[in-house]
Amino acid sequence: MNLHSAHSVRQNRVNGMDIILQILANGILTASLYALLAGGLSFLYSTTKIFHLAHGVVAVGASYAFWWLWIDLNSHPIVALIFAVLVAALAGFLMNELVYERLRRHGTKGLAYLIATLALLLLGIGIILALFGAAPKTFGLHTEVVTLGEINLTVLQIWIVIITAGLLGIFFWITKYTKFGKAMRATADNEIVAEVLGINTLKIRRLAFILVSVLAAAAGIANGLEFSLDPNRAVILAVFGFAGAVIGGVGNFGGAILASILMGFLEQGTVWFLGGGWRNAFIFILLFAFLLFKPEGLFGSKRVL
Amino acid sequence: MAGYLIHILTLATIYIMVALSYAIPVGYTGLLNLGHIGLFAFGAYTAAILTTQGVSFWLALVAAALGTGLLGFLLALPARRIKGDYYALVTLGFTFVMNSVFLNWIKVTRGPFGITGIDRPEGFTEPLSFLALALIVLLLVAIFVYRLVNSPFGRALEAVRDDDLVAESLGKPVGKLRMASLVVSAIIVGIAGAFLAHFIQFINPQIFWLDNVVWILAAIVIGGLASFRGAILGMVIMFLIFEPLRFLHLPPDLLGALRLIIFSLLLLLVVLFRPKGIMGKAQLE
Repeated sequence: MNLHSAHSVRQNRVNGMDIILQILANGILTASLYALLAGGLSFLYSTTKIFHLAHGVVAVGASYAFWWLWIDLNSHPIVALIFAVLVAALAGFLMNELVYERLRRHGTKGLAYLIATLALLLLGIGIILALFGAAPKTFGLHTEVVTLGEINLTVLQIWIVIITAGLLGIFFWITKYTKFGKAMRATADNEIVAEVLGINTLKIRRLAFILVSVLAAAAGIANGLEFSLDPNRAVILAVFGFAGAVIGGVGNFGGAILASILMGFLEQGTVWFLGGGWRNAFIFILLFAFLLFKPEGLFGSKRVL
Repeated sequence: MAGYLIHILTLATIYIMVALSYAIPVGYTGLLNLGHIGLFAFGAYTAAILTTQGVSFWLALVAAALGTGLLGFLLALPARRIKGDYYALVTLGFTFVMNSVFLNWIKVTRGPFGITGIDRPEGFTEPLSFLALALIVLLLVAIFVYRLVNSPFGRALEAVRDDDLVAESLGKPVGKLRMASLVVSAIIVGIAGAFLAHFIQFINPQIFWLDNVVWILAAIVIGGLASFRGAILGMVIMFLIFEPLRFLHLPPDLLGALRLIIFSLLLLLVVLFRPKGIMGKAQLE
């Protein structure tokens, strides 16, 4: 859809400024998806030190749950939405409870978590494939196009951006100003000290997983509505989320969001100038460059490596 | 039936080479290189593109080994500074980049359709003789890997895996050791790639996607990380589990899903309940 609208603008031979504006407009949408994932993952990694790649399948799983109830079973979209968010929260919670916490109790670190999260990611994709098949599914949504000057945006896209901003604002408020958020940040800073001070870090980790899984559900549903449902998107969403978290500086929530916006724009720029097939490659070259030359990310204060 | 058996044996021979090559960085050095499948693909594509242009198989084999080694060197460069989760992320990205190249550089790779009509080397067109050739190469690879991991070099790699700070303070060139293990692994998987392309005679980007690197990872984790025999045994087990699935006559979509579910669940269970695998020495730590 993005590509199509970009094309029609190109055919109209509009001037360069309008092209840049359209790229920015398309970019802000993908940026919203990445920000929801990157913000959550950045926070989760600093709190739990778990490289939760299976986050991507939580997002995509939520979008399938939403599609199943709304389109397949004809329920009310609000009911489907609540169901999808619950599915995501439960999936995130169970992954932590049954896998990561178990590894933690056994004192394992590093490689085992990575292998476990990869296994969870593929297990989730396998379950989605078994339940819904490999053919991409769509919501068949037709929303009005709003034209601002030479820029085209759909009503859906505008809503996605607004809701994303709202959710990220709420998440930021929770982590910054509530007692629970302060306990989370204390855990992120130094887990042992936090425990000595009487913070129940197990409870904190559980809540962290539930919270970021809700953000993932929003990202997955937005992705499904805007593009289509495809189990393989799980991998791309997870890795782009981490790319945003790393480029923004791990543990820096605002950094992750700014990095996501940057990535969204650069991705749309790549699509525009090189074609859609290269969009994934471009982000990785960016990530590669950051890890090599600026591993603390754009705004990170702590060295992560 | 005999034909089918030879087919499976040849495929298993090639994949055991891949498992052995993968065990070096993952098991011995402790670097989770998720770009290994991209290297495997590069070896396969390099050899296939050359032989379909009329280059001899042997020259193409050497080119695949050296070319993949060189690409492995590039992928190893960040390993001097980056390890653990971040290295896995970088190499996962590498797999995406390679996949984009294979899909989009249509002039050379023929995009999603892949390369077809790859002829087997002269004198080895019969399945049995090709199997014999693959077995000889596997034997050479196995002897090489066995001697490598049991040498002082192999022990230095394990020291890097167990504690890179201690290894460094003992004067081990940690960054160089990491890079060397990745390059050696890349050369071997490049050879395996050339064999795969010339055995199945067609390749496309789909064969070299992320699920397959995790499938190979499952083999060496189940067999036991940092174990030479474990890598071989693990791959044999994977073939014994997954080949019979073919006879269930399920629709392809469902078969693919079932395969994913079984091996990821198996991998998860091993990591949770028997982190040493069947015969691994190294704790998954």
